[in-house]
Amino acid sequence: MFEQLINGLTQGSVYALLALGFTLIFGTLRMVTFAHGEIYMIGAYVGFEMIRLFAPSFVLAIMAALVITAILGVVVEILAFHFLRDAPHVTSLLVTIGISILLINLTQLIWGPETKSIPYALLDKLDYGEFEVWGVYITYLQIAVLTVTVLLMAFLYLLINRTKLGMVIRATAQDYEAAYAMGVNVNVVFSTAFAIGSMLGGVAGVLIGVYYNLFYPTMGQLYGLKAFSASVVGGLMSLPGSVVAGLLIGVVETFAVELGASSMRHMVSFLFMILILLIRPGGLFGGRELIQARGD
Amino acid sequence: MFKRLVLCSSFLFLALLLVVSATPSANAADTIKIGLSAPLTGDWAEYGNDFKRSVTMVFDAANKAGGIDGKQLELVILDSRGDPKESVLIAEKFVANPDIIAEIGDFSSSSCMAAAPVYEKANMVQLSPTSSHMDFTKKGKNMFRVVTTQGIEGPFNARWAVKDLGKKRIATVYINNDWGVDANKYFVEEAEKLGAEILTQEAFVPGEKDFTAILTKIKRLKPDLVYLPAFYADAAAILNQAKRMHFKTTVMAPGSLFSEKTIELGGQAVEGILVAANYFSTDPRPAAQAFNKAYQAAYGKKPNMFAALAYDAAGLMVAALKVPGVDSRAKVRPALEGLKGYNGATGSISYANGHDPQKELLKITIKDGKWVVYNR
Repeated sequence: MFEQLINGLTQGSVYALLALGFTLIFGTLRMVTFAHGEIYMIGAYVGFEMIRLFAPSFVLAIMAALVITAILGVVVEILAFHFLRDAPHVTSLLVTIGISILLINLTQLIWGPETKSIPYALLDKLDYGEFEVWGVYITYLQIAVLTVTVLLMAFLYLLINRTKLGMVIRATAQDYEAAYAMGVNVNVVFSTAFAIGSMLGGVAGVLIGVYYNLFYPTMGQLYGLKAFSASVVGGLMSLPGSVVAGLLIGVVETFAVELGASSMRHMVSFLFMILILLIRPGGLFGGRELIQARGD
Repeated sequence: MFKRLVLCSSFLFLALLLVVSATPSANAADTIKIGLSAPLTGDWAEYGNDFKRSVTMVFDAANKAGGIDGKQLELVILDSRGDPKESVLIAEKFVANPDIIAEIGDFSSSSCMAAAPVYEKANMVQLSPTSSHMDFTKKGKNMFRVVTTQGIEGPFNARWAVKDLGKKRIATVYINNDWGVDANKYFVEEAEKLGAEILTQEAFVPGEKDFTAILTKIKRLKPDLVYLPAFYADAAAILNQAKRMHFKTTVMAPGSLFSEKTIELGGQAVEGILVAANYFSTDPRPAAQAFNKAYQAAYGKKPNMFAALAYDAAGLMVAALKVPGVDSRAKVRPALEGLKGYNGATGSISYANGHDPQKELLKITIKDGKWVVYNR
C-alpha cells in the first residue's frame, strides 16, 4: 500500500505540475488553452536535444526549455488571444486546439513519429541515485519532481498575492478594460501570464521526459487532458487546489490499478472527477479562489 | 448531335484500342504469370520493396535453373500503396488476366482481407507473407500465409516457458488492442493447460507510460516469469520502471519486440528477455543462411524478417508450381496444401493442417546489448 501511495504521488505530481500552468492561465485570462499539453511536449523535446547534443545536465535542459516555452507561450497568446480579445471565447479555444495539432505535426516532421529516448550512456550521468524506505526504492528524481511542484506552487502564490506584478495581474483578471483605463498595459500582462504558465509546462516536460525517458509527439495529449481536469477539480483558479487535485487523481488512479482495473484506470480517474464536481460544482478549493471572478 | 455521337464513339473506339493493345502479346504458353500485390510507395514502401526484392530473386533463380517444366516464370507487380481499396482493384486486375494463375501479397492484414473475397471468387491462391490477423485465412479456402499467428506463437512461448524453463508462476502484462488481447489469450490458455498458475493478467491502454502501479502489484505476487505481449516502446517503459523498483524476474515476449528499437529504448533493462522470432539474420539453420547469402549477394544489404517471409512465399509458390500437372488456378491450392515440411528461411512450413503454418520458431534473447540466438 505504501509503495502504491508513492507511485500515485509521483504520477500525481506530473498532473499537478501541468495543472499549475492551466490554473495560472485561466486565473488571469479566464480562458482555457488546449495547447498546454503540447507546450509540455515541446519542453520535453528541447530538454532531450540539450541533453543529447550538449551535456547531461538538468540545469541546462531546464533553462533551454524555459526560454523556448516562454517564447512559444507568448506566440500562442498572440495568435489565439491577442487578436481575438473581443471574439467569443470559443474562437480562441478552437485556435488553441489548432495550434496543438500544428505543434504535434511539426514535431513529427522534425523528430519523426517514433518514440525517442536519451542514450543510456548519457542518462546514467543524470542518475542522482535512490534510497530505500520500508522496502520501497525512491529515486531522488521522484523527490525532485514533487519538490519542484510544491516550490513552484508556493512561488506562484507569492508572486500573485504579494508582488506588484501580481497585483497588476489580479487587476487585469478582474476587469481588463478597467485595468487598461488605469494605465496597465494589459497586453504585456496577458503575455507574461502566458509565458509563466508555459514555462511551468516546459519544466514539467523536462522532468517527466527524463523520468520516463520516452519522447514522442503525442506525449502531451493525455497528460494535458488529465492536468486540465485536475485544474477544474481543484477549482480552476486555485493554485493549491490544482496541486491537491493533481496528486489526488494520481493516487486514485494507482489504487484503481491495485484493486484490479489496470485497463480502466483513466475511466476510474475521470469518474472520480465527475463525482467530485457533482458534490462540489466549484471544485475542491472553489470557494477560495486565487483571483476573484468577475462580477458579470 | 451527330457530331457529338461521332466524337463519343471515336473516343470509345480509341479506348478499346488501348485496352486491346495493353493485353499481353507474348505467347502465354511459354510463361507462367504470378501477381505480386505490395505497397511499393507510401508508409510501408520499405516492406513492399522487401517483398519485391525477395520474390524477384527467387523467380530469377528458378528461371535460370530452367524454369518450370521449360516455362519461364513472370512476375506482374502492382503497387497497393498500403491502401486496402487499392489492393481490391489490384485483385480485380489479376483475376481478369487469365494468364495469372496465383498471387503473392499483400503486406498488411487489412489489405489482404479486403482483397480476399475477389481471389476467393476466382478460385485463385492468395499467399500473404506477412498478414497475421487470425481471420485472414478464414476468409476462404484459397488464403495462405507464411508468418505465424499469435495462435501459434502464444502456445509456442507457453511451452517454452512452462515445459522447457519450468516456470510455474506466471503474470502477464498486455496491450489492450486486437493483437494484444489475442496474444495474451493464446499464451495463457496453453500455459494453464500445461499446469502453470496465472497469477494475474494486466491490460494497459495503448499510449500508457506509467506502469509502476501494475508492477508493484505483480512484484508482490512474486511470479517467476512475466509474459509481455506489447510493442517496444511499452516494453522499454515497463522494464525500465521494473528495474527502478528493483523487481527482477524472467521476461518473455512475442516477436513484436524483436527490433533494434527495443535495445535502443530499453538499455540495460531489456537484457535477457526471451523472444520467439520467425527469422533472425544469424539463425544457424542452413536454409536461413542460404537465404542470407543469396540476398546479400544480390542486393548488398542484410535482409530483414519481411524479406525472409516474402522469400519463403516465393519459394513455396515455385515449389507448388513444380508439382506435375499444376497448370491452372484451381490446381495451385491443392499443390500448396500437399507440400510437406518445406524448408524455408523462416522455418519448416506445411499447410496440411490448415493454412496457418505451424513453424518451429527461433528462440532469441538480448545479451550485452545485442540480439543473439538463445542457448540454454
